[in-house]
Amino acid sequence: MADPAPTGHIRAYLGFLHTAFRLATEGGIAYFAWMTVLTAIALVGANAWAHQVAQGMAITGMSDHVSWGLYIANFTFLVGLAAAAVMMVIPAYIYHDHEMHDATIIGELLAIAAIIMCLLFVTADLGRPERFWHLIPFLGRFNFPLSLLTWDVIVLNGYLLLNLHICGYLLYMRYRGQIPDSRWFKPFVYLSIIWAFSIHTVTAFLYCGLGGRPFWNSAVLGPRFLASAFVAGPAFIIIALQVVRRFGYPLGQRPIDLLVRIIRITCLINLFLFGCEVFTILYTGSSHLAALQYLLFGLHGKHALVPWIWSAIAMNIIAAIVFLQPGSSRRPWLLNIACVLTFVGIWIEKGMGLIIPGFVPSTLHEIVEYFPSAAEWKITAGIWAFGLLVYTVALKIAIPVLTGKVRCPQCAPPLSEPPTAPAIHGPT
Amino acid sequence: MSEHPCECGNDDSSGCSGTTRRNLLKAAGATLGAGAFAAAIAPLTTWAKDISLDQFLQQHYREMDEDDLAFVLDRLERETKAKHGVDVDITAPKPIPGVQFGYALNLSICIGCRRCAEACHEENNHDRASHNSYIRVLEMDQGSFDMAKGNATYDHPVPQPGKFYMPVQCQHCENAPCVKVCPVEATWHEDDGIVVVDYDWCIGCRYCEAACPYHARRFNWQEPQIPPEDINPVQSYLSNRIRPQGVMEKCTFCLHKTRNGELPACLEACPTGARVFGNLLDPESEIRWVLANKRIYVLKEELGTRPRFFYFFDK
Amino acid sequence: MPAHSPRRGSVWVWLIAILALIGLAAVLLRSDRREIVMPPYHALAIYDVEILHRGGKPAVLATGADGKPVPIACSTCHSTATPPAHPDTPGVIFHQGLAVRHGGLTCTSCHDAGSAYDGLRLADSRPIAYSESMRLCSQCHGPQARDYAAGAHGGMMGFWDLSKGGRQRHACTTCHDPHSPAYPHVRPAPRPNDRFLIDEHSHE
Repeated sequence: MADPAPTGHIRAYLGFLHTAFRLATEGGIAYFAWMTVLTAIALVGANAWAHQVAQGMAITGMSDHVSWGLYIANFTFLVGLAAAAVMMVIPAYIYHDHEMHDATIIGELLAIAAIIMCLLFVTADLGRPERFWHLIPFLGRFNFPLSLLTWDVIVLNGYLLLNLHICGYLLYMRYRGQIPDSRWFKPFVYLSIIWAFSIHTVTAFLYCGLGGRPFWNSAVLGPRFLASAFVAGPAFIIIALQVVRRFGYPLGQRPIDLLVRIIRITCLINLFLFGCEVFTILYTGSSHLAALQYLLFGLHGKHALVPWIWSAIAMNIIAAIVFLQPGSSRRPWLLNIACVLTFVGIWIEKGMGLIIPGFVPSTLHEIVEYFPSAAEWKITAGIWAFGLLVYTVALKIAIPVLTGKVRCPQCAPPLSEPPTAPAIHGPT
Repeated sequence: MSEHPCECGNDDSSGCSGTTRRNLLKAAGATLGAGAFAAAIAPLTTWAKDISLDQFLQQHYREMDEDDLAFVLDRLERETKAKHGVDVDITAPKPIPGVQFGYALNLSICIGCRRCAEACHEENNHDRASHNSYIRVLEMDQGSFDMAKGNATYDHPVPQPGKFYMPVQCQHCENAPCVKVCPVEATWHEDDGIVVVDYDWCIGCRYCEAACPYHARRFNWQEPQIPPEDINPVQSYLSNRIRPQGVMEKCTFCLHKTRNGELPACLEACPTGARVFGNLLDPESEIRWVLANKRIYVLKEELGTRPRFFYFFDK
Repeated sequence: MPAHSPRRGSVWVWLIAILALIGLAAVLLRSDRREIVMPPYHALAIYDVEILHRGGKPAVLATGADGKPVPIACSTCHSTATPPAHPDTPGVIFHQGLAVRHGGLTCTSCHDAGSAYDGLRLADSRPIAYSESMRLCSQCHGPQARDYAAGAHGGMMGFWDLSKGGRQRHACTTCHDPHSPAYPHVRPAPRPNDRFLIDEHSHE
């Protein structure tokens, strides 16, 4: 397993970074057009954020009654997206499904982009972002372990570092034409399985530990978060896999089949858990009913969320029906429509459909509605654009490296034949 | 996606024609992008000018010693003078040993006149436009504690028949959810029971506002606007000094007054005497008399927050 | 065999995860009670509690020659003229604007004929000074008087800590007109003007 005449890691790694930069900045017209559009949107978002910091969060639609809005809604949704990478890691590494290995890194790169977006959304939501250093342990005052936000800071950053290391190491070793050393990534991969569950559970605990918000104060919130994450995440990854396949990444049908099989289970769990919540609240009929009534039917003439949540429910049910059809994974058009439907449906249900009703009615039972302002939409679009930018760049670097088209020139001579797909992650 | 013919496996791109124009375009694009980015975040430069290095590096209140604190108070007084043109006196009174503050409110004689909310608004240098106050008075139906039937925006002569009035403010809970959830310990329980906020430490994440069951916490969505003649110059670091934009604030039991032995502004303004305040540890205080002789309730007791704000009826 | 080492490694990871969860539970479930151990602070009443009485003699306000209100002491007229038994007797036109809505009380229930109506009388006819009117009210309104004495009625201004400063309190008649003592309706201070709070009574 030791490579003959190893080139120094520093030189090779610098070469790797240079190659990565070159790969990211080269491409056809379509690539540059895509990147330009994303950059433009990201700049609009950055400008809106700069105005928000300078003028205060009064330019958002939030108030003392509904004090979290679009940013935290997107943050919650994206933590789930990041956690979904684990759905591919488990079959690949625990159950030694070789074909899944190739697809796993696509999910892990998505996790990196999603976590970066989460961190940006949280930063956008802070009233004093320059005081972020107050969160650094020993430098500031870190209220660990009492505050769930500190847990979130730890697990999100840890997950980012884990995935950066795993992907970085695998790509670097592939670039060098060497077989990756298990000791350097296997333990991290196993850790990332537990960690992925933890990031979303901690995020759920942020909400369900608050006794003053009965809409959130439910034990089923954690399972709901995980179930919906494991629908939306694989749905996005299915589309991403088809895209990378189009751009020359050799992937079979098996990863997509497996993801559809996973979604078949998780979409039913997601709908079931939502049904459990609805039953528990409706049947009891206590004052905790007010938030769910506001969400589903409107309350005292205020009904801004009603069309959204019913659309989301319809989208999730239609998508579930499509996924459950035998052979759905072999019909790309149908499959992709179902993926998009459920992705959007869960974005609504878990984002605005979860955050806003927690605040309506308020703790003093007042009803103040929330409508995101233009600035909030711009910042949200900007962060999504930036996340897609990061993901595109990551894939643009990863695909040529993983398929062996790009190799470190100073390193040991390449393997005698171009590696076939199963060897990308090395022998198990 | 086909590779460009010059994207060979080498890092050396010499000998590939056509890349020079490409590289020029890429460089131009990158410069444009960098320029656009600088323009996009330009508003941050005006904002950054308002923040001094001292302010940025300031330590948490509990970690400042006497000299640090004196320096910070002096700086805050100068900044207030520069921004609002008013000479203010910002102190940092310490808790009195052997004092645990308690507050009681008589629901039988509160008439809902909102003078307490008004006094709070004036005492605490709140933003004028939003008519912000830490106290919110709910007009409730007699016979029910259901706040869903309450109304905080009434605008008719009070008291109305068939209604009673319940002012709600920070309960300074023993087991405060806001203290638990703050990620940077910007809000904490002082020794005399008052839950305070260090406005220069708060990062503005608003988790405490989500956690509070009593709608007691307020956020500064923008810079507070107060005419200079309305500014109350008797201020303290942890209570009514003019707060910066982007931080949380809440009722502090007027600690700049109560820690000097005075009554809080809301109590002094109450015309009927529905409010009772004092030291819970002193058996001869008025608050202890109320707790011993009246039927006491706390709001949302089932949440386990253990408030030190009590409601009672005369009959 | 290389196949075994990943399995052994993963067992350790699961074990650490379970221990971490137990530790987390132990930390989160610990009690939040704070022990308050300090000798209580007892405020020595050095300063006074001042009750803001209306001073002088009982008087009626009439309009003087210059248009300003002029107080006219009861004894001015009633040292010679006997007042009627009930204030609603027709002909009592001098006390204009005097509304008496105080149960079944009449003028002489409280005003003492013996001191030419410059003083007050208790229920058992004992005369008291006008400045002691609170004793009068306390006779019938015992619970309110008790609450007032304990600081739970009528409000106060000044200091809770009487070792640091004094306190001013209202008398009964400051807020309650003795002839028509029901607390008046007032216009409340302005309603909250929160962001996006729509002024609708949207409950019920």
